[in-house]
Amino acid sequence: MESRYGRRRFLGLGGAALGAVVLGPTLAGCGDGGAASGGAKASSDVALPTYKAFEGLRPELAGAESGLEPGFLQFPENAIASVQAPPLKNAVTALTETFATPPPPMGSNPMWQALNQALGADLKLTIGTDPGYPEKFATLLASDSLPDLMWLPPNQGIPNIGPMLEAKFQDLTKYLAGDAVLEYPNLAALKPASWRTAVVNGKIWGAPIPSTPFGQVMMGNPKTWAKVGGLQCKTADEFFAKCKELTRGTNYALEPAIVNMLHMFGEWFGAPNSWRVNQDRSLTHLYETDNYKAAVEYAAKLWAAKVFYPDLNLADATPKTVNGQIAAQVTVGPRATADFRAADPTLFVDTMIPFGHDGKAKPVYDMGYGTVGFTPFKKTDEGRIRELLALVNYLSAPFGTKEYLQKNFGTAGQQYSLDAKKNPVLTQAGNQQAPGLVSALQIMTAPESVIFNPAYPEDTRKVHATEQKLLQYAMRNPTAGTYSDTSSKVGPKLTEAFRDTIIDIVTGRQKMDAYDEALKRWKSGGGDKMRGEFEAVLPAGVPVTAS
Amino acid sequence: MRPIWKERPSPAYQTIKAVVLGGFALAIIIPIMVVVSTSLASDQDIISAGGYVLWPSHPTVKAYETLFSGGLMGRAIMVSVFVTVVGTAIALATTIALAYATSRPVLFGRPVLLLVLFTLLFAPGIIPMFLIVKQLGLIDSLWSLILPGALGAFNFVVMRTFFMNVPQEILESARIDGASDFTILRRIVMPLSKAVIAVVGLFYAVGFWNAFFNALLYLNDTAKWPVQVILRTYVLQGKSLSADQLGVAPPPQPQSLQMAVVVVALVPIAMVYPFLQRHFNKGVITGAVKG
Amino acid sequence: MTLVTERPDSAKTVRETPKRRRGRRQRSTGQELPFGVRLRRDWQMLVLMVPGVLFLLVFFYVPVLGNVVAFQDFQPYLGIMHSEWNGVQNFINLYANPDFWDALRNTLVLAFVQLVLFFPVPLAMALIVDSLVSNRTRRAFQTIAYLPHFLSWVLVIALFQQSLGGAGFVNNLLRQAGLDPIPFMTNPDTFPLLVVAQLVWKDAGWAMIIFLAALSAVDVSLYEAAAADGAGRWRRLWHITLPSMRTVIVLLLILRIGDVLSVGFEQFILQRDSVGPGAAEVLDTFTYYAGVVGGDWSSGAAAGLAKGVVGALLLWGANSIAHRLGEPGIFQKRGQS
Repeated sequence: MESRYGRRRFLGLGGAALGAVVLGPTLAGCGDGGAASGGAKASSDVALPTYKAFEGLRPELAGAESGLEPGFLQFPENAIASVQAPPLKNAVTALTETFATPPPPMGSNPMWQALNQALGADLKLTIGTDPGYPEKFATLLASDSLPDLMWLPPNQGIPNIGPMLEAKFQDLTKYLAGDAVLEYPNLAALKPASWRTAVVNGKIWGAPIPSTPFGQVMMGNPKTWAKVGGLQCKTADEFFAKCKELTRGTNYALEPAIVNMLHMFGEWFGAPNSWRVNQDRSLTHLYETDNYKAAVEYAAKLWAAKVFYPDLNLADATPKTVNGQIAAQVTVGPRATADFRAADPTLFVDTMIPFGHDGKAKPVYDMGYGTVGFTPFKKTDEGRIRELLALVNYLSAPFGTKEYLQKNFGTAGQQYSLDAKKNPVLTQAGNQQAPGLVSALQIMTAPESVIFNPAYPEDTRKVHATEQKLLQYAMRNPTAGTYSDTSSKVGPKLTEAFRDTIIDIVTGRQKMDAYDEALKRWKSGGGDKMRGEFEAVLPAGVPVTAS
Repeated sequence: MRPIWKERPSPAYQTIKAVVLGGFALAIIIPIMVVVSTSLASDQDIISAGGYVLWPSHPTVKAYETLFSGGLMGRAIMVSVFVTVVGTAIALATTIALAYATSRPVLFGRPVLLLVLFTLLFAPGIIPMFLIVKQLGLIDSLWSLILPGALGAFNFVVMRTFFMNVPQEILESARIDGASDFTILRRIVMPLSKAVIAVVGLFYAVGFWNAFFNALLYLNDTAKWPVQVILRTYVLQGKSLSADQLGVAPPPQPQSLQMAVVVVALVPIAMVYPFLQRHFNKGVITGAVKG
Repeated sequence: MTLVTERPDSAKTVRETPKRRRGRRQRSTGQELPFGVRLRRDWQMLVLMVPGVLFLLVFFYVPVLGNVVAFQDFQPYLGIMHSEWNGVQNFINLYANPDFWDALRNTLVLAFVQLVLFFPVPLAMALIVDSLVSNRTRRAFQTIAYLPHFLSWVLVIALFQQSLGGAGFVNNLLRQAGLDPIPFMTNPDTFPLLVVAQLVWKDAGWAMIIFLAALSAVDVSLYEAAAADGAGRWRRLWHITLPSMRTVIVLLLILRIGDVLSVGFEQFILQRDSVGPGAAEVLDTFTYYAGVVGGDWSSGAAAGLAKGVVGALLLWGANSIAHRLGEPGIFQKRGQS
């Protein structure tokens, strides 16, 4: 479904776990290793930028190295300036993408003009939309008239990133590695885990764009699940029984996004996050594990019991979850509760905490990708590089700073005003000028993410608590931050083909025997080669996967 | 009025006709009504109907207000109208000229015909096309939406076939009377081909109106985006990336917004059709020839 | 005075116009005249060709040369000039890929079904509409029938889903009646029929327009004369209406056959998941996954070229058959008489 590309692709970006990301076909890139993970062997040697957290802000709910996001119950009263002088002297052009309605153009968008004023010169954005971004990216690349900055998405089918970067883009290692980054404090406040995204061939190519580090979660409407004793389950059989009970008339238990649901089941059956690291440091792919196969069988059983909403083409399950027609759906990250609040202010949806399928086995929770790629610079001279870095530094200003406010909310009294609790709220003018522009800016530059939902401070606490629960079972993709040529080249195609078979199996169009056949094709088509390449560069720091 | 020579149809035949046409019309009207109703539906209507609404119990124009509030939609309509009108005029002129010139056995007629037919089969790639448009300095210009669509092979073939059906005797006698090719085209061929010119014009207009991909590639300035790009981004858009940070009042339901855009994109072109329809009435040709 | 007393069959008329008239303007003998004479005679026609030919060169022939990337390992960042040549490797890969053959098979099946089931619908509808006496009914129906053409496929499929989908209107009724739901939208075996139904709903009214235009060109005096001779409704249809439209019908059929491999992209990609690629993968979606999703522009171009060559053969074949049957087809042979 086309309408799905938009939302799902973005879900994918939001950091879905690899291997079982999303149903949308264009998302495949996020699968196995990600096209934009970074760097060949040399990558492990590069000195990542020194991490220096932003001082001067105390979140009400502390974050942690584990990935736990800091929570803010309200916007800091006196926003601090994180940047001393306007970063720009000359206009800058950039290619980015908006996931909201396109904003009014610069000439008639006071918020944009105000941002330009704060930056010191015009920031001319070429705003792509979905669909069409990969085409736009490729045409600009081939035309040899590159903008100064080009957002490089990790999962929209842009292949051979390594050679492409070497040919057209600026190596920024010298300006960012180690302590050099300290000249740009907002960039130094990005975590090393995020920076790994921006390392390819042992060089740093741009500032990463952090997003929530959490992957997919299952969410359910508590009003619906109350009838069967709540969303949380202890065993897969219990879940099965509840689903059957919730499926009545025109009401169904599960949204029909099979691959996403399967990803959730996989977690209950202990399937690894894309790859399993064995004792001898060899790798086993998700698809090769019995755990995943068991999850496929389980999904087929649920499908046969007709608990999935019967329209596979359903674009967005959110409205149906809100009105109770669908009991549970898959979204990205516990913070997605806000989407349901937006549809129904009285609704706070439940997030499923993974459980062992038999009540004993240890479940896993797949962490997400953590970034939405990075934004490389066109090749240029040192003066310009410093100017562009200063710009990115400005746009990556952390939550709570003046620059953050300028970028996301505009100017006080014009695009936003303060509510009773001193939180910025967009005015009517802001609602017209901001969303498209903010979306375009946020996808190409962003600070480390925080939990902030000013209208519902209680939600922030609950989401923070959910994140802690999920972190107990957290598993990261062991190949994240490493690079495999094969994966970059044929990974997306292989994943796509394998998923086609899985969906056929789950929906009963093919028998379970087709699984091994598809697996064989996956392996010979490049899966085995990928494994070899990932094994060769597997960082020593990556632990053996517990099972 | 029933012509004298036409007999009255039998009741059975009459009924079959009515059922076929009536059924088809209903199958179209109901869904179109759903589109319009949904665009006018309130949030409760949509939530209680679980998506699309057959009849809004609390009609509201909130979706349309939202749509036009940003100024984006108003501008987009202007752009689309301009591109459609100018584009159709240019395309019709090019097509008529080329179709007429190749409809007679003239010098270079056949090779040119083959040049056109070849375009039916292959498509130039996205990237080379972009490079040409860029070389011509058309990036960010509305002409980038117009010029690449100035001739469609299908429309050309249809037009040419109709031109070839213009009775040869009329042309020959005009020629004997000393009329030039230009005159023959303007005074004889075009008036005799009103129906096909109307059809092809409509096809071009719809093509220009519906095009969106070129705009995505060639236009960087959002102020120049046509309606269809807005339609795409509304109909396809997911949630705003910043929605969770903004925490603002909920916008209208996405369905009503989407359907409102569909209606906005549908109305202008739907208004053109009745004006062209009269050219499809029987006897246009004989009338002209007789006159 | 009625100049047109007989339906002119243009092909024959052109070919058989006797070489009787004096003067250099005569065109039917053009082939034999010296170049200079023809140039002087045809210069106005050549002027008329200029804009069209210019367009073709600039916006088609120059960019279409870009398809040489089908013989390269093309990378956008290197451009056509610097990408590596790899001969026919892309075509070999295509040939060896079973998915390509599946897609080709699906395309041909769907194209055939569309040709047989869809093509006659707008023609039949145009004939019925044309036979309506009341102008008002006629206009009302025409106006309604062409509307769905403007709805995007996303919407059309959403509407079908609403009515025929697993959770749609019809199946909910069936469930309430205690019957098993019918998987209209997800059954791969009946998928071609679903595709045609959607196509009829969306485009039959629109496709009717050309036929209506052709019908409007039929000389009413022919009907009068036939009726006077006692020909009934069906005889008039058979002996006047259909022969008058033959050229247009054949033309559209040929164009359709030449374009048979483009069965529609959006319609399939939108339903690919719900019926599975086994039934819904067609050449265009295959190309999309290889080219845009996989970022493999060269494979995309190779599949496009292969498609164009097959299309050319089909077009040529269909046109030749039309000639055999005495129809002008897309381009007619002339000048040999």
